[in-house]
Amino acid sequence: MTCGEVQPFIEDYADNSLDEHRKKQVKEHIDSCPDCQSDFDITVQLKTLLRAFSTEEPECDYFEKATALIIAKISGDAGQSGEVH
Amino acid sequence: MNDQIPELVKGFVSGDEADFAELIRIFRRKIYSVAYKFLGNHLDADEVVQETFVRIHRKRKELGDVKYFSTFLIRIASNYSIDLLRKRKGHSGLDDDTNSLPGNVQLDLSKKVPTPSEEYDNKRLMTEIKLALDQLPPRQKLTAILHDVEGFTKSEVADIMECPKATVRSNLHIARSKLKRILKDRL
Repeated sequence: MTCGEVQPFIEDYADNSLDEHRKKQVKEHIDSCPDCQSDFDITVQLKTLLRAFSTEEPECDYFEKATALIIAKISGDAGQSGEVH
Repeated sequence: MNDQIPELVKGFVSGDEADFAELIRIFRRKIYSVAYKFLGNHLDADEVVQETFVRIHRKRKELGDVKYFSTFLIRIASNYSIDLLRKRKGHSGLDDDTNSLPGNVQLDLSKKVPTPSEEYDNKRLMTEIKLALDQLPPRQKLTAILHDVEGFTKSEVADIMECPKATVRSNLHIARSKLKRILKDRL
């Protein structure tokens, strides 16, 4: 495969979402082409960075409070609905 | 845990509120995580969590036709998050490229206690990633968060975003190309 033929599959290769035949073709090219190898490495590094993107946990009782609020809201809706019907 | 979900959904659809409460417990963290990463602050993420479950409760009769409850739930949360982002930014263009303002980026400190220097470096990195994601149009941003941050497959993202898998692949490629440019000093 040429660089132009391999380029559209580099991200799929990094995502491990190619079938075995295509994966083998892309790997063979990347192993012998520094430019495509570099593109592949940058894609993998970006994926690693994004996977590490995290946010702080909310306060420890947040989820329990939120659940109680949701259930209260729904019960309120059901009560109103009951009056209408 | 996932083995329970079809039974819980069945119970929920037929009116079992205890099953609904259990579904909330199973999915609330995931919804919060997606919403926080997309919207960048606790208050909006909290609004998404609450509104998502209120809406799915109203739609419970439709759930009999839903093959995958989790993607249906994340779809409701994602659509509401996009609406909220538009509202916050004061515009309605789904594909515009306007940059959003930096939000309050925070750290996952649960795994270990970092040194002050590590903490500073990590905080800076998280801020850079957040600012980079904020420069993407909403659907590209959501695609990158769902696939590359949260780990959903392309098929799941397609189901969540109600678009063909090829569109997910294309949005992901465009998003990654932009992110590679923006984050080039980190790559």
